[in-house]
Amino acid sequence: MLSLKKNLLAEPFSHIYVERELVGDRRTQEILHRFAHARVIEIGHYKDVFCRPRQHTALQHASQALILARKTGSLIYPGSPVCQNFGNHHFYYTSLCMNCVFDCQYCYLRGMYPSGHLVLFMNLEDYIAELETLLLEHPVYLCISYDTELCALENLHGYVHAFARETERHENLTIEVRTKTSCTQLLRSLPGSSRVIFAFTLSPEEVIRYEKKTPSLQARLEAVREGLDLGHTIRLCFDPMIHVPEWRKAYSRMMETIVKELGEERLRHVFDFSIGSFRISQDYLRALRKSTDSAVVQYPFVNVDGFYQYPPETAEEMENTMTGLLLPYAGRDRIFRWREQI
Amino acid sequence: MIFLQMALYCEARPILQHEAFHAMPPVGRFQRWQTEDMMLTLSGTGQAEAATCAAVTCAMHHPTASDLFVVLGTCAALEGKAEKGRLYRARSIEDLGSGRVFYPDLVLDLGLPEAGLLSGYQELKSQKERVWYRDGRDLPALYDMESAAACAAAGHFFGPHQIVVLRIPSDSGDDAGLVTPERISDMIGQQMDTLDSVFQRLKAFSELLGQESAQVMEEDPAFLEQTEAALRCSASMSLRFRQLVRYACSAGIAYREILERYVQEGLLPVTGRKEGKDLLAQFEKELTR
Repeated sequence: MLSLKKNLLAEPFSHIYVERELVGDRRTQEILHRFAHARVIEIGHYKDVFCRPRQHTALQHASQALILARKTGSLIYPGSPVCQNFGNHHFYYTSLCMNCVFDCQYCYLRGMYPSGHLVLFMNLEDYIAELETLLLEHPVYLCISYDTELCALENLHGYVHAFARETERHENLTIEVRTKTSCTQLLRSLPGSSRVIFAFTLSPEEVIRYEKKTPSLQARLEAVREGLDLGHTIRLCFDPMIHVPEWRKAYSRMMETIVKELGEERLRHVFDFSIGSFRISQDYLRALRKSTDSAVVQYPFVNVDGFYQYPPETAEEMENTMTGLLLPYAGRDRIFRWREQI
Repeated sequence: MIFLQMALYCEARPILQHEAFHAMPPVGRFQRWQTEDMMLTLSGTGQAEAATCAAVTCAMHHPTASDLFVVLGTCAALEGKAEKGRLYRARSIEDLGSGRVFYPDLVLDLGLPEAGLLSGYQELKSQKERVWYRDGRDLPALYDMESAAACAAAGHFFGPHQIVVLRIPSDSGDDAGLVTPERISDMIGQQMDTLDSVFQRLKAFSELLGQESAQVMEEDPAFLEQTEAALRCSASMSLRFRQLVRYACSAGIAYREILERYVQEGLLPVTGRKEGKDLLAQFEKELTR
């Protein structure tokens, strides 16, 4: 079926939809120049394409179109209760992009969005302006790569660089860049900063097989190693932990690989660690289960206050196991667990 | 099934001859023909006819996730950029009455040149001054009088990836009087090789969609009902049981063996609801350990 798919489907980014008012925009033109062979389709509003009913998100993920749009309304949001806040009171996130070039079967985005196409918002200046208004009131801890994978497309938009520059201009701004990439080029191109946190999501290979198009554990660890050596602030995220067969062995083997690749000394320089077992809002899970029969999604989760998660004793055991694996290399004060913040 | 909708018999004639269709009883005034995997319906010209025809076809045949809806026929070329006699795929269809634009999903690569399509309510020559084209200045622009309404009606039944609009410009509006039925048939006939390849790709895509939807597994309903009765399931227990079965299927766990063991050990059927709940919990534990 894979070859049938490959032969029939359009190449990713073979079509780029552009909101009409952005056609003359400099940044838009720069992006279009990078896709010289793409067919450009002018549209009125990104929702005309992104929010059509009955879309086939799985096929769209395999043949993603790019939609360049302008985001209006509120641009920076308070973090959701299921997000790890790492003890930050003014915890916010922003969506510069909707959807992701990766295709993780368990990803809440598959349940959250009606389309698998990728929307990139071009009005960076508006985001920065709203951020600056917030910064006048209090310090801000901002996750810039939550509903997407910004690092994978940094060459296209340069938004990680742009927000990193903002941390230089504002002492009370810290940003977190969550990634599953092996973004060594990006790390080399930025100076290390205590207020730009690169948060690498690490998973055992047994879980990575559910994360289509993502780099291997090995490749991610190479980027982590280089990031640490370059003086970047690195967070290692074991979140979401996924209940796969023999998960204890899988996570244990992953930890062995991490220690082998990074060494104990580097692990001491990791800023902190995040642990969280899989959880998802009930609405998103309903949509997600319709889109795939993957075992990681069909697991019999339990509903706790509107969020589906593993049964408490299973989740507790998974997170305790991961904490136990980390403790020889990290103090308890550097290990954050989602369950403990609520 | 590919539901092919065309306006005129002279447009359909080369396809009917080429694809070995057999006639079906008409529905109202809509003539129909069918092969094993395609159904061709003639709508007549105009938006109302196109919408009615699409709605009737969809309501009668209950399209599934693997079916496709294809609008095919001739049209007028606007602004001289479209090549007459060439087969185009519409990537946007703008309803000139409402201003609404329909975007078919272009995930399926048909290897065709693309065009923007304006879909109006009058013949082009009488409203040419109103037409100005918005989607891409360098793009071939076409004009017809059916696609907007056909897509609007079909959109109630099909997803945007299941709708394909194919058009062959036959004239520029001003010279429409010169276009005879014979000339239209010739024009479509000359594109038969291209159309043949398009139909093959559409059929393969339909097969792919079928495979994708078949991935959502369904267990034998009789077996599920039987086991639920043996477990004395309440409505919520049934939902839980079915989710466990679905998980077991997707994880490749031989769950029937577990249930059979319960029967052999005398645990199933249970004698009461409480016992059923306990056994369901045990079943879940065995599946997820």
